Amino acid sequence: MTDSAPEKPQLNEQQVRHVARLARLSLSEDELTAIAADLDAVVRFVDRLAKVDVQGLEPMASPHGHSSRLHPDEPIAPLSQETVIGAAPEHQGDYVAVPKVLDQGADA
Amino acid sequence: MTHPETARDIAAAVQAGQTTAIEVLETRLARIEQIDQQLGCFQQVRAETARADAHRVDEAIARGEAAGPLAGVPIAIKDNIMVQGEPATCGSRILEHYVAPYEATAIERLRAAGAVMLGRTRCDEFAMGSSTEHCAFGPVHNPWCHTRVPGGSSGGSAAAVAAGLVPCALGSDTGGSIRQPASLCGVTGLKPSGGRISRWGLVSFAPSMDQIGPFTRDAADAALLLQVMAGQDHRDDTSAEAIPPSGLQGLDAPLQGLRIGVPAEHCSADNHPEVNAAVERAVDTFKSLGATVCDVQLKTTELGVACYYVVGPAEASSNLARFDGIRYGRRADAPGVELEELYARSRSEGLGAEARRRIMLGTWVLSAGYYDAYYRRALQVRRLIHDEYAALFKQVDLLLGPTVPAPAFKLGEMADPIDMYLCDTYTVTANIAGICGMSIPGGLADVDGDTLPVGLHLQGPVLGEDRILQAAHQFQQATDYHLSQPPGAATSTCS
Repeated sequence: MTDSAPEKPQLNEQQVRHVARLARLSLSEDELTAIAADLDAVVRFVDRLAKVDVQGLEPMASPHGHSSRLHPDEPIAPLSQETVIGAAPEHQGDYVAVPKVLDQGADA
Repeated sequence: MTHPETARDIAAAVQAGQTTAIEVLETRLARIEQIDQQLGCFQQVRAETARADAHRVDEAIARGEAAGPLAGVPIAIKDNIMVQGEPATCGSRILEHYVAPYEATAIERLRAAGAVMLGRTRCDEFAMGSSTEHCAFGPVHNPWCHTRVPGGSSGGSAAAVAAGLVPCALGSDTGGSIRQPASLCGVTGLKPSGGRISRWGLVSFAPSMDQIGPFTRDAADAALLLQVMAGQDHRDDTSAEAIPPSGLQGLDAPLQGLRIGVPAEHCSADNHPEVNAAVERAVDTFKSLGATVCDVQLKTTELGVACYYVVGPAEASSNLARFDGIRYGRRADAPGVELEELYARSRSEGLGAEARRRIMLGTWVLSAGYYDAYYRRALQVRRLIHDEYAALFKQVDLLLGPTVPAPAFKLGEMADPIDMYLCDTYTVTANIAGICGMSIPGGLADVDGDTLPVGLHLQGPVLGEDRILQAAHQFQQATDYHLSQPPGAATSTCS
């Protein structure tokens, strides 16, 4: 954990490609170039945060001052299986259909 | 000039038997049929189901029952709020054929109050935008001038109310998405405090800042709709356990002794001159109503948009991860590809440019090596913004300023994403800090020969809606800006 100013971003296309993979987006080469330029501009803009003295400030993930309440112990009707399965773009019987995943190596 | 009908007028007339819910509905449906082709406010009008809803209200009244404070009032719903059994596209191809499996709490409560859900309005994809140009199904046009944007992301709802297609509509506001379009379209738009209205059934964009709120013709209608929708909900743990808002009660209480602060940073010389002139006129009006008005500083204003464009995309990238083409939404037609490739293709084909840009940005600020420098730091700046507001609300009861720096811009005019983001400079900090805010009409400006509305921004502390609604109501009793309507919405004659 550090409060020091972030390094000036050097958002190259390789990094953008890495972020796209993390985000599960497949971008064409043209899109990659365009989005790299856009991201770099936004990152430069948000860099003004680096100049703020944030020493000792507790990060605030949410302004909601209330959470983790106990719910009343009352049964409520769940969504029907038909509704949930029906929302999937592809299904077989009572199952959501997906491509085979087991024989594609550990990264799949 | 005939005054636009309020939700209160309609509900009173329907309940008293002077008209029926079905008559009210048919009038609005006819108007939509007549002019919405030019405006594009509606993604879908649900005429048949709305007729069935209206008949139910009429039947209840025929049986001598009280049909609720919104008896027979037609409401338009932003297309990111779930109405059970209806599509909820969020303005995105990825959800084009998605049907909401359950009902948003806000909709449940509106229905119980007698309201009739008339249709769903267009918005920027996943509520990301300030112009409604980022809607996958087409843009919305500003009823005041069809070559200009209605603002966004709740542009369809704002324009529908401005054009008299509906007396009220729902939007959602994560960084200004209710207040900015309300300002650009000349209607009243309320962003309640974080937690005031349950987010159950609102498709998540950035849950720490998302909030449902109403567009109305005036502040009293906003107070009524807030009262109907507000309240704790066990399905949304961030909904606040709080004293309910007072609705119409207390709106007429005098403003004597009310302390209003005007943030110097919001009255920038870079604003359109008519925007600053509207704020000056409003200061005089509030003084004449007995309030004391003083200049204050809101130094964190310049940090708001930067903080927002770290926190918002970070939350969005997490929330939109659910759209993977597996459980719901659109799946890429790519037989034989591996799972990860299927995810990537489904998302890339289904999500538009702005959504992809924010997902990328959010993923980056949360990624290893950048989390502390960007995300954690933004959360610390958020604390700073929150604390500055909290200190300010010990000195004054509410803040007054412009909602946006300038009136409506032209479709296609705002090409640079950062310029678009800066439209939200005065509104984002309310979401960051969780406080309430609203935009009310503050006059008309002449921009290159076009007559366009200018909005006033009122901000109050967390759960302080009663106070800003009271101030807005008194302002509207003393002025007639909120009664201005676009010149014959079907035949707007602007450049």
